[in-house]
Amino acid sequence: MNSTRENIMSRIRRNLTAVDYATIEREKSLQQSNPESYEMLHKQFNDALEKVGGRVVRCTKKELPVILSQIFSKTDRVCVESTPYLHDISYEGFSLEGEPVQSEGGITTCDALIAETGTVILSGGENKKKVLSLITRTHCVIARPEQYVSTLEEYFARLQKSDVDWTHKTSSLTFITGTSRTADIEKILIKGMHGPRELIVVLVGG
Amino acid sequence: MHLNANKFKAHSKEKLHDKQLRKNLLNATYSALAARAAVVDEITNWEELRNRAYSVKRHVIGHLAQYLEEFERNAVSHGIKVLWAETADEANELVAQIARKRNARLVVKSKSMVTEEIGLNKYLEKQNIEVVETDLGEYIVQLNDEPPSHITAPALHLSRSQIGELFSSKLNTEYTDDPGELAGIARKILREKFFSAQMGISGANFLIADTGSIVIIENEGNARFVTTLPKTHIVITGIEKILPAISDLPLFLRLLPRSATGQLMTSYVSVIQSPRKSKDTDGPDEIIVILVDNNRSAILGDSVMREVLYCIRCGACSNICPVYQNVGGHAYGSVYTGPIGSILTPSLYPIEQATVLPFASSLCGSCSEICPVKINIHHLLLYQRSRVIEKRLSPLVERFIFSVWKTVMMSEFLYRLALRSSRIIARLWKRKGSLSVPVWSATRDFPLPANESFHEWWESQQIKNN
Amino acid sequence: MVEILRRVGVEVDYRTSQTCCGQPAMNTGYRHDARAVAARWLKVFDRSQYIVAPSGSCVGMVRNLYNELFEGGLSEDQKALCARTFEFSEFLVKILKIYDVGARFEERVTYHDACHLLHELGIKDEPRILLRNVKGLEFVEMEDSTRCCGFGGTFAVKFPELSTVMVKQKVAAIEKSGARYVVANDSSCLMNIEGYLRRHQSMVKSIHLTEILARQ
Repeated sequence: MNSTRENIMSRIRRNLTAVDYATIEREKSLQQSNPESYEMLHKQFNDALEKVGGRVVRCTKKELPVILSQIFSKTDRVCVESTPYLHDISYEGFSLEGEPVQSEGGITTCDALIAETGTVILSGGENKKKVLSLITRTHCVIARPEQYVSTLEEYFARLQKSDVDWTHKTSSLTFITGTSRTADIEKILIKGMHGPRELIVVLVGG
Repeated sequence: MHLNANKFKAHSKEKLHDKQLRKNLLNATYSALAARAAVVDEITNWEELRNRAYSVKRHVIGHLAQYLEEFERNAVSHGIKVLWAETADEANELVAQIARKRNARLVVKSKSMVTEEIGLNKYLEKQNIEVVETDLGEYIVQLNDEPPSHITAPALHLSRSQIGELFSSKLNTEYTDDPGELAGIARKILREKFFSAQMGISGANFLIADTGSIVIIENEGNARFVTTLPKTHIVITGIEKILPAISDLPLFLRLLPRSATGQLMTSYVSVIQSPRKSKDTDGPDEIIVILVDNNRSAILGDSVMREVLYCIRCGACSNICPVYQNVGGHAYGSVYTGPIGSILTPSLYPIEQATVLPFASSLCGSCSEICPVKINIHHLLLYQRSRVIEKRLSPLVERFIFSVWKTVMMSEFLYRLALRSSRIIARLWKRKGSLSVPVWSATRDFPLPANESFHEWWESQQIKNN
Repeated sequence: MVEILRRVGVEVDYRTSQTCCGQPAMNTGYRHDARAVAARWLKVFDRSQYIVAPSGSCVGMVRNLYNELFEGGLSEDQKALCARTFEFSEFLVKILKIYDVGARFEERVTYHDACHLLHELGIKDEPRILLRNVKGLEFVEMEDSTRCCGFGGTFAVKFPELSTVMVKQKVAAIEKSGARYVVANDSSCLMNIEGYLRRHQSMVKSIHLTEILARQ
């Protein structure tokens, strides 16, 4: 194994000896960083998410159980993440399922909402059940207004600043932009190919 | 995959007669281009983005050894294993060894062109390991025992009824040609495979050096299944997929989905850091990255061709190429099709096996213009042509014709003589106001030479004025 | 072209020893042959103030490919010479800043963007500006005006079926536009399109940009 690696590396080095490329100029940001107001971020996120087949619902923490019961009115077996925030909500109107594998609906929290593209970011970790965003038919994300970020660039900049060690702490990040989809048959758009057919972001508070 | 690139002429002729294929192709490519235009037009600094992407790729490829080491170091520190393979067979054997050790009978796969390039599926199947493609388009072409015909839309050459017949015959299901129902059939079958497979194999769209991340983008969710459910996850990727830093990723995520499918972002992007951690409820127990060379390091030694390694596999060049639009991917006889395939194939494989591809283009230059990382594809086509000539792989007759051409063009006298004689010959050869010229005249009229060459007109003017 | 340039007050010279810029050989991969012919071209045009050609592909070859062909072996003078080589509409509009050459052509005309002109030299607006200022000319854009006509030099004879399909698609767009004339800045494109138009007895005719601009 080591000799294969060495063979490859030495050939790479040998073939690149004459190369002299300056470092990449990264100081100039290619992204406009206008501090957007919360309402503008929300509108941008809402419009972008609707375009990709998702939707946003706003409510207070008090209204949350009713909203969730509406969302899952036709769904049996909803599995909920075990994070503290979701723990003290009284779920009503649908049956709770302990095992993600058996569930049709899933409720998770998220790490961030990217306004520009309508993207929801989830990370793996303790008490999380990220797989619910994959194997269910209806995925519901409980989010808070502070989680809005304008662009992906900004998200990573914040992440690197706030948690230098993030690369060790989480097993993976997943960016979700709308529903699962395919156009592999005659370019006809079909939603919910392998992943959820429905994505709802419930924005609590704000 | 077995290379059949030198049969392009015969294959393309055949495809031109396939009305269904041509209808699908024009529809698919034109709609992809329209979708792309809509989301590219709204970016005011698209050119700047392309320039930055080119310089990032130029930098990372130019310092590839250092960045590969950095990636390996960081990935390993998170518990990811990193292996290296010089050749296709070495890579295949590494996978087979792991499969044997883990007693893997069933493997689920998400899209990876490198695995097509090295022929992984057939290699594993020979060892009695069942390999199931899980991207819908790839699943379809796997059932049909043929290679994909487009980088991002593998089954675009098939109609819904053809897919319907394929499913009913191979899967013993009731015939339907409704796309939604067909997708539903595939979903049910593949979900069962996801949950029972011992091993998942994926490619990688990007590897990030400073965070040791594996980045996979997709729309269906099958790659997430493949990289989450089975206990063992193997990533097979070319060594050129590295980006220097996670802060570079948003730029490429801005360029790739827009260029490929006209989306702002694909439905899912996975940034994989490690196998499942102790408190995780899901994720593989182990992740192994196999870095495949297979002649990429040799391409690094060609300072002109080097930039072919910048490709991010968006497929936009295929979508805009009028040749591809009319014949589709299978005509190219290679894993890598379209304009990028025409320059990559004669460098990744021995050039004798792909001498025709660089000539299968009218050099219109649309590919270079649409490439999000600014690879100068049409100039590289010209370069590959000169490599074919340098290796003396062009027909003798053609070489002779150009020697004669050169001799004539080097002499004013011979040039003038040639023009004058062509006029005389034309007068003798003409029929109904046009010339009969081999090949050309089968479908088009050929004009008669003008009665007076520009030079003669000029000289007569000079005489008049003097 | 000479008539038009003289009409707008430009002194025109023609180097009678000129033959070719070398592009056909370059395009087919015969760089050795192309280099010899290109070197001769540079000598023929030595010490010209401006070099103007009614063809985007020739100019594209000189401006964009000579440097690659000579692998960095061009002298500063030679590089400057290449930089002073212009396509005709580019020369009128960008260098002379002339948008109206006093032409008259009372027909409905559509414009085909020749590939080298568009992709090598970036010339898209200049021909249109000149055409729009021609008296009596009705200008219509065809669909996919920038799509290749299928000539591509040796491509047309190496892959004739493909080439014919492409020119067929181009002619369909031309006819759909309702124009009676299709104009372009490149004789190869025009020969290709005209060849198909005549074989299929189309009502449309092809014409070079300079021919329109010369009419008064």
